[in-house]
Amino acid sequence: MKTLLRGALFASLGLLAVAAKEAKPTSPWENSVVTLEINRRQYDYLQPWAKRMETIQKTGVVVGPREVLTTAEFMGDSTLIRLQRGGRGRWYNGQIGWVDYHANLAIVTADDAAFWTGLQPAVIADSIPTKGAVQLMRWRNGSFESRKAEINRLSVKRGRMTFVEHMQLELDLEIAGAGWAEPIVLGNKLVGLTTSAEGNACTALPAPFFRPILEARKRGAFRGLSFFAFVWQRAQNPATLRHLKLEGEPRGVLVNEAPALPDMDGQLKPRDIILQVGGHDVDAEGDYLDPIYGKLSIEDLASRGRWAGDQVRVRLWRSGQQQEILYRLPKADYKIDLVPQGPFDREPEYLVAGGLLFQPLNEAYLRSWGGDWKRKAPFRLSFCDQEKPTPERPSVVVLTAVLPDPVNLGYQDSRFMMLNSVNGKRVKSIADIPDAMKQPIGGFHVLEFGPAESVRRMVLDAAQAEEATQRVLARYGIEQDHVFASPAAK
Amino acid sequence: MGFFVFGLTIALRPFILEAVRRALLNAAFSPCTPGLPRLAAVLLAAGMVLTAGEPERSVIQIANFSQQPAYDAPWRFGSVQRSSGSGFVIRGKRIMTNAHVVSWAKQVLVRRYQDPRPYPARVVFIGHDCDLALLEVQDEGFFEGLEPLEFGEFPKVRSTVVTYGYPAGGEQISYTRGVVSRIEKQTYVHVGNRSFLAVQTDAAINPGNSGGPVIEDEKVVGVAFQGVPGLENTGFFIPPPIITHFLKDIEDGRYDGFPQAGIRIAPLQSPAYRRFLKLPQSEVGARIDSMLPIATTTNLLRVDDVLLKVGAYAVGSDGTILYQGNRLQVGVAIDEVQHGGSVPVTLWREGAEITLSLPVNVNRLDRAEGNQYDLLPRYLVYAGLVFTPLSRDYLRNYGSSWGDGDVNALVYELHYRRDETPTVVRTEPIVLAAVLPHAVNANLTVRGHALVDKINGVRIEKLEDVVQALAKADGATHALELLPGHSLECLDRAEADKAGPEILKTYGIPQDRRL
Repeated sequence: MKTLLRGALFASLGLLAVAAKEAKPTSPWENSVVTLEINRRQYDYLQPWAKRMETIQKTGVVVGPREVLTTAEFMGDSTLIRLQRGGRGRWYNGQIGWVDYHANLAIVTADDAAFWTGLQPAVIADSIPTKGAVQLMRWRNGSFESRKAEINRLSVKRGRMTFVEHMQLELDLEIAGAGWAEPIVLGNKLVGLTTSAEGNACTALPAPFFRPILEARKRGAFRGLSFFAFVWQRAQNPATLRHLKLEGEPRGVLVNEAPALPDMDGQLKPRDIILQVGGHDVDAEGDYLDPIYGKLSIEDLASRGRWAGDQVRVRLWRSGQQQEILYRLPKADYKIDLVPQGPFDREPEYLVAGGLLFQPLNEAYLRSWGGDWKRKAPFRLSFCDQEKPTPERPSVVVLTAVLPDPVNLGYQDSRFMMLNSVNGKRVKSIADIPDAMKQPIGGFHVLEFGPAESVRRMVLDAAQAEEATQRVLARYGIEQDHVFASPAAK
Repeated sequence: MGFFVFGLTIALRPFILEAVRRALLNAAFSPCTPGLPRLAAVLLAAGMVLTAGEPERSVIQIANFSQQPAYDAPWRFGSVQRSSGSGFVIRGKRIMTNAHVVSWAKQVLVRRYQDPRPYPARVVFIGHDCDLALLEVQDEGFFEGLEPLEFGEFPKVRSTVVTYGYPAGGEQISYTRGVVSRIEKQTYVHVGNRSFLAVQTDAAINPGNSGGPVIEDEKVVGVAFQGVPGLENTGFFIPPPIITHFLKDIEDGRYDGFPQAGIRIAPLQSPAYRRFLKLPQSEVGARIDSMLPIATTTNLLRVDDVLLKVGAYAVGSDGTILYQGNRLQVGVAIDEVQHGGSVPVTLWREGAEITLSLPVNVNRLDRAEGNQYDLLPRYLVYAGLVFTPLSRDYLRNYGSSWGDGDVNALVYELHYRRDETPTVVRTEPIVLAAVLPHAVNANLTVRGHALVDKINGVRIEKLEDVVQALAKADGATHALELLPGHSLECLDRAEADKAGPEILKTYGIPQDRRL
């Protein structure tokens, strides 16, 4: 699906530019739909210092003055963004005006006024149908395509780039190869933006999800996507409700886990039954009745039209009594996960010390084993994705490889081992390692690994390790011994 | 791979897990026991006479009619399987074969060379860890004219051996000649979480060869037992030290198994680490990296003790010993000792040498992590909820579902919990394996594949706790707390008690429990 541009393609597009100027639009959407080219850094997380480039083409839709809306996917680590109108001809340099990876939305803009001439902002629908025919619009090979699509349903499920469950539009398309932010339209209104497709089955962000975000952003009121931090189960079992002394028909959802987050009030407790959220009754399936879209998961009440820090009134059943609380919605933050998605717009973090390569465990690293990494990556590392961070273990640092050198003789086969401490100091993040190495034990660095690892302890000569690091960097062609969280240079 | 243990359990853990996921469940190695070839086409060469000293006369064809339980429906058995293997007569009118040839046996039939008669046999000793078994034949006439085969010495690399047996593809005995190509510790895939000495040969050892003798100079130097699918001309046999250990073990009338010291050692080839331990730079000494929580071991040994000598063997810095001319993992020295015995160990500790006697015992803590045989799974069915211990056999039901969240949580519980959070490890983790649909349980949102955390507030350590927690309930409901996810599922107690017999009848469950 990824389109890698080649010089020949640029040349052919250039030749067609004149013809495009003369073509008469067949659809008003031709003046709203544009093509984006994103040149971006692509990192090899098995060699985190290695950078490659890739070029992606996707679609955008003009939504306001000097604003093109697209999805955030593949916008990260961009080095050059270009826009094209009319499906052919000149490319205009652009830049990201705003991006939110959790929401999977980005606004791209261009300085050149010529690009915007004649382009018309699309009207974003207030509401959308839950079934029926719509159209997918895109430029393809210089021609404007309007393809039939059929809405299957609106669902609330985990987003493509976030753990937040939010409203999504599921469609059947008459074409394959979509999912690159093509607008889904109904008449003259934008109802969705595709995010992925498998064959003819396509998922899109629906307008009711992104319109409030864009409006709040304009007002400066968007504080980030929010979510319910608690884990719940359906309360459809009458015996369970009786056990919790809630009489009557099954209703509500049962809170199973209510993790403590830094910005949470912590009012919810395991075994609370949530009966009402924001004035909406919650049924035993975990749904509420949306006045427009019908039954939707209660997760929608946290992720649509409400932002981080907003409070929502929750009626709950606790210890045989009904209570009401104001639940403060936490901000979707990748740090909430022990194995965060991303990183985005950052170079991969790593540290080379004495030839030992350390990296923080994140999803980008695990994806080195491919899309099926949950099955193919080393079990203990992939299982971290099911664990929660704790104050003692906010992240996982892994010895991912050993770059062989005399200083690390005896350890050259070690890899994929979770690091616990260095010189007796707990390693909570990769940046802790250099500090810990400032205080060797009797001239040695003592590294402790997880209790289930194949080797629990390594020792390096502290003086030799420092000297060896420079030797290793030179021998393996590594520019710098570490990269810690800092924005990538553009 | 660089590290290992005496007794394989911990040493192999990272590898086992990956192998479990990727290969072992699909038999990266495969015991060489095929479905039994049709017996109808037995050919006898009339008038063929064997001379004394021709070992084929003492090589036995074995047919096993077996039936294995279903671990996700533990009261039920699978269909009767017919498989075949080989064996050979040893002293004392017994037949030696592989454990996997006669596991889960309902009936074992043996046949002599060129004799059409099947003789019923029974398993008298079986060692699943070392994949060896001994059979007796009720009809003593079976042994008439059969000379027991004698055991020989440990074969040397590059020596020529002949494998005898009844592999698939025909009814006649088969002889395959090969060269001993490698000797080292291998995972014994029958049990799956133990490794012992094994000899690799390029003789074709095929399904059906299992249990057959490998002969050099007219003496048995091994028992053929496993191969590697996809690798041609690669077979493995069990060498004399393992066979001898098995035979010595059963002298008291009971098989105990191979003991472990309960330590995991790591190579000590880092010059820095040797200096850190004030140990001279040399090729000697491997480091104790961790220990099982076995008092006899932890009272004597410490992490970072350096093993210099085990028994009569000097320990190399790579954790190997020189054994019969081969550099082998030091655990081989422990494998010579019987359960309850001890082995002299020379250590380097805090800059000085010390010698002590290290007791070794069979480790039964990790039994569920390996394949189990001949022991029917424990279970309890209550109100259609099927409770059974978590085990590798149970997890095998998931097959290709490895990688799914709930399954991975069970894999973690089985293979990692003991090491990572020993304070909360359960003696026998219990899973809610399935929920047999009935009105009484129809509203449960969890339908199985969950770890049982608590029932009626009682933390579940073993299956008996489930029984007691349900029996002692005094409220109107039973409350089950399940992992992962801490979900809560309740049952109306009166209705659940009442529904039990009907559910057992509906699903053809003969008994509600096997404890």
